[in-house]
Amino acid sequence: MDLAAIIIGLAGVMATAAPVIFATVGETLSERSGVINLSVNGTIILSAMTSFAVAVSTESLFLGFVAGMIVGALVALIVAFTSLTLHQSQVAVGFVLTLTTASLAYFLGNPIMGLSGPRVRSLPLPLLSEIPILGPLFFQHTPLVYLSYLLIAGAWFWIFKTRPGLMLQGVGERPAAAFARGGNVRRLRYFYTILGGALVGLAGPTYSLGVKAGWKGTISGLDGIGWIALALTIFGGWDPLRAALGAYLFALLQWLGLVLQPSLPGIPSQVLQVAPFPLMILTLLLVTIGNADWVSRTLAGLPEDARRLVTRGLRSLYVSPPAGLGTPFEKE
Amino acid sequence: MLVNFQVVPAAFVAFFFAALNIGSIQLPIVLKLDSTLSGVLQGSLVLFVLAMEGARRRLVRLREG
Repeated sequence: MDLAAIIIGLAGVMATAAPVIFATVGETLSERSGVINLSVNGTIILSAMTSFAVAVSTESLFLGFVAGMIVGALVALIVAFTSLTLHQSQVAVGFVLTLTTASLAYFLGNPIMGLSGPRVRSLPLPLLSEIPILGPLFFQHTPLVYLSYLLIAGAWFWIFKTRPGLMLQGVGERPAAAFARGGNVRRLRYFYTILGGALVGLAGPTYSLGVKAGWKGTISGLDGIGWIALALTIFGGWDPLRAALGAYLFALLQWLGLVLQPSLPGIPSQVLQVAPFPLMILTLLLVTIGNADWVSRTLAGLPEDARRLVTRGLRSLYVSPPAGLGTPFEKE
Repeated sequence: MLVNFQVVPAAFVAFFFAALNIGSIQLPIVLKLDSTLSGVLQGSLVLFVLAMEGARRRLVRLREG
């Protein structure tokens, strides 16, 4: 494979990672505030269908994207209302919603299945796109890919470098302390859950009006992306930068699955296609395993040097969730 | 959660959802409707029950002050 083909392939990785980044950053914001929105997978599918339907009927890409974000925000509002106001299990509600929204998308999307519709065009950035190798890799994409770069940086800056971001961390970590400092915990949780939902909703049109243009029902290939976004949120340690790295890694693994197929004829193509999914599960296992008691007990039997090395490796990967994640907050 | 963590009603609820699943295969043949409608019905039903349970508890809490 020559360099040009590799650059084209890696540019494709950047493009296919964009919707995963939108969903992952959205979920990161939601979970940072303490709300688990498990409906991501169904939300992406429903928003992809809705935005394609709106874009086809109005011939407006902008309205399509707005529709997708509204769908995401509405689903997130249901999660927020049932969990924050009605105190129902966030996991149960999110899981039910992911099944309902996916089925709803397939049911309502039947009339538009296979139709051709508008698609977001590439917009190479002047000057930057001329840079050898880096230009085609990073700056010859659709505006959505550039938006994903900005979102990663913006979300990271917002969470870790601003006062409202500090309050967001407080609401997710110690809601009682955040409340004592003057934060309206419920309102902030509502806000970030809906904002996160809108970003998840943006992932749908990024597929149906960009990366995988069109609506093809159950064979659209969107099922499973939301679960990956949820896994990446954990893998990223609720940090947008690290989560984005995970998204690029996932897209890279998917690309490698396609590229390696001709070179490995002995391995069935299905194995390479699904390989990124079990690899993500293994990665999740690696980032959470460091906290398990049995791991410490097993490591205790190793020679001192090996034990130290493995412990250090596991500790560098280990992530811990916001302390208030999934727990309701009531004013005393 | 739907059966309030009780074993006996769980059997009836499981039977109901199994009937919905099996019935969904008949949907396209009999009613010319997509079988995914069954998923919408099941999900909406569970969501509605969860929301109603939450609303009931909230009302009780409000009434008790």
